[in-house]
Amino acid sequence: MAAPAWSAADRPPPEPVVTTEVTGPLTIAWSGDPAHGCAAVGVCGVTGTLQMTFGAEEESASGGPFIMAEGDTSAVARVRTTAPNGSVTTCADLVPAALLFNTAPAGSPFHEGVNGPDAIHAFGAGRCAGPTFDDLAQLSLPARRDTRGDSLSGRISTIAGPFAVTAVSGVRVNIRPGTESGDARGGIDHAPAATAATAATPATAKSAAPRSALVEHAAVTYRITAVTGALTTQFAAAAPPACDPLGACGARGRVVQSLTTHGSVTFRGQRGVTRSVGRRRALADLREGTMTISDTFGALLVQGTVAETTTQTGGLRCHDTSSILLPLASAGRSSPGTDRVTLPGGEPFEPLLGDPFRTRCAGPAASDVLSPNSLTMAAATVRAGELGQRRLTITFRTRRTFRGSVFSGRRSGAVTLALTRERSQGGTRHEPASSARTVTG
Amino acid sequence: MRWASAIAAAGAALALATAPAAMAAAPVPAHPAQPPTVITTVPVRATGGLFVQFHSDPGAGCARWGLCGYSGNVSWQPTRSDSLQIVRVGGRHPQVSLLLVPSLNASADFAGGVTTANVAQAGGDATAAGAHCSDAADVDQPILEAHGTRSTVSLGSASPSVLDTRCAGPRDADVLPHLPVRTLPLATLQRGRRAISLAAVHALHAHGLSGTITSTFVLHLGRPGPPRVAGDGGSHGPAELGREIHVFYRASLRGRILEEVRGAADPLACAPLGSCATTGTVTLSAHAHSATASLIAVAHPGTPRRQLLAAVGLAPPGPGGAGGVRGVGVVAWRGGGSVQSDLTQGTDSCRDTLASSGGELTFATSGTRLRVMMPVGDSAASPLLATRCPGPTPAAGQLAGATVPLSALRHRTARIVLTRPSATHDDGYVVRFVPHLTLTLTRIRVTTRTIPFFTGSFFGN
Repeated sequence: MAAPAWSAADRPPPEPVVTTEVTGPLTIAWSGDPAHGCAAVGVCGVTGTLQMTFGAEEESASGGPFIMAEGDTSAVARVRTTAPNGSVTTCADLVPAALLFNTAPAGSPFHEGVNGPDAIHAFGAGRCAGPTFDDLAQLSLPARRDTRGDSLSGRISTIAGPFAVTAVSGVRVNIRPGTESGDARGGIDHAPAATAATAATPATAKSAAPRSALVEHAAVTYRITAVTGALTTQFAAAAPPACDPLGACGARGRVVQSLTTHGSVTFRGQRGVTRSVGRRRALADLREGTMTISDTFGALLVQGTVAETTTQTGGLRCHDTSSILLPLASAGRSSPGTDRVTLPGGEPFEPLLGDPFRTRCAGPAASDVLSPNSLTMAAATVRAGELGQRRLTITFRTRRTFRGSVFSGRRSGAVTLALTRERSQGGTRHEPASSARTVTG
Repeated sequence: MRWASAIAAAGAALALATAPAAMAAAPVPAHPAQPPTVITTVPVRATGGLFVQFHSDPGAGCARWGLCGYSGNVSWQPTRSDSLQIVRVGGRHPQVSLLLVPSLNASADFAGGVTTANVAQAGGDATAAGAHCSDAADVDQPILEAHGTRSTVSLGSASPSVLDTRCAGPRDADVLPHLPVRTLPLATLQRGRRAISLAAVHALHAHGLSGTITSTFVLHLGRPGPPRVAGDGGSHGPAELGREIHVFYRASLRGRILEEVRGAADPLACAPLGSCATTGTVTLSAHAHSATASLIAVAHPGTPRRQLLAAVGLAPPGPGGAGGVRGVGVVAWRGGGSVQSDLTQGTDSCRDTLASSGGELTFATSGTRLRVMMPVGDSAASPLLATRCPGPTPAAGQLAGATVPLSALRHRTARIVLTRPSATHDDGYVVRFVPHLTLTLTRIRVTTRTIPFFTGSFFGN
């Protein structure tokens, strides 16, 4: 976004900012714990660490309060697995990680201390055996304030599924409220306390009232009444030496993803028109495919489970089930007459959501399995002519092979959503002119 | 590569709120008659990798460098790439750059691939805690480079290194010279639909390490798309004019940076790296005589020349100072120095030396001060502080830095001494940098000109 070339007189007033500086190391160590069922999962021989180091760079954000995420994209998971026959394999993987903390001042409604409820977000052990994203998100580092800021240093121990987990932290967080002058070109002036300020609209940013256009719109909302089926990924590790870095030589297994979502999905269509139409006509136009359709799933995140079974030479056998959250399932590509609905596999390296392919067993990640050009786990097509029916089914299917640097295999299966119509709306309304792309009679 | 983002705490949804302040954009100057930029996109798929298995070889003299007792493997595997962009900037002397764009389904942070090491250490008294080192690192690996009308495909251009990890083992200088380098006309790349193989098998003999080098790396080029002209109808057209002052320097850098190293105290942190009880130093000696440096400030076209000069330290600040105009600059050098490790762990010791590849210092002016920084990390420009010995590869902090009066640049020759120590952590290690570097800048030219800016650029005032 371009920064406007303010004259001194035009400059907006200072805006409150929060500057944070996070430094220090964080090690999360785990080992299979017989007292908590490691034998049932098959990870009693697993010991590992995820090590993060946070840099000394200051980060600033205006407004707030914020949950800040300080990341280490070069965090490394290091895992050694001793097989029943005594053989040892070593897995090392890069695991982007983030430390989340709240910058709200004490006493504010948002204040939860510097360690918020989601203190550590990391892809668990990456493709190695170890705790999952959800397991690590449960960790909350002990915070205490001293003269140099907030210290998250200390040592905590806990249980994450079949693992005994210990976190050793030397992390420090320095949060300074301040103000940022003018046009965000730097020059943060730190103040003892930030005051709420509303940026004035500069003269250069003023614009004329937007032109409006008449838009025909229609929407049909369905409730998800049942979800059946599963997506299956079968995989095998590559031959040496490609399998050596992950210690995966001889590994093979299966990942089964099931969805347990509920909620609703709304299919919408709209187009520019020159005359008003009624609800019935608009819904008929939606069904006839004259509008561009988009869909909106009512649930922000789709819930599900992933079950993984792996075997490896030396008598290793691992079976685990984890819950997964997939980001909003939404339209992949819309075209007149059809709506291609996709089930996204998530951002494989986005530390704010877990990897939908990972459990506590070692195995492939989304980046290994999904198409390099797409984040789609499965896709379905909804025909416009079906919209408005009292019952509707959407079947997400996948069928493809994959070949990555360490894992290869194939994906198959289908997940079917059974839908029941809840409501339908339609008509015309005025919208900003840019919304109406194609104007028809 | 570090990142940070702020997430609004409103409601249940997490939403990205702002970008890091560090991303406050630098000026993007463009020449008034901007030559056309033509981009050809070729789908690519990278397969295979580079795999080195090694062991210490007493017969080859491992004891001389303290590299006895090690065995293991180090490998580099490319990130799944989506496309190769061949960017040709026209004009009288066309320039071509080759960009491998990672796939949507890969992290941009690992665009160059991932290096992994698993190394066992036997003997000495390191058989307990220090018996094994595992590590992984992301690599900025260009693979493809353009030279005139030709292109080369090799693994030799990595920054900072293909094989650099915290574990002991062979480094680029030991391995990459044994790998093939493919040179082919740019036109061949643009036609796509061929496989470029860097496959090779070679014996490894270096500094007492023996083993096997295996490359299975192949770059598969698909059918290219039609060339397209960049910037047509986009939002990157020149929007405003700015005034730029550019100061050119000849530079030299002498001295050293002492990296004091010790293994982390907690066994949970040091054991996975085999770094428990490690102590010693890694020394970067710099002898760069012919470095280049420049300092640039950009402001509105109506900015008085005196303010521009003040922003780069060539004139005393007036009543309004530099008017908020700030200068940024860089000193870059290649080679001219060495890196030496001298580390002990119990009765084991490792001493090894590698030639330095070079590095960068950055400048930033603010008010009446000049800040000089040598960042540590995985930036392509960061000087490497690694040899074949095990040791830290910190990715955060400052190797050296100094803040001096900007007036130091008013003289034709300026000498800046960097002695500010700093400390940081790295997986399994605690590190302290003690620099003693002298940077000498000799001003050779000052230019001012009016330049158009692309939208997205930020003025200095």
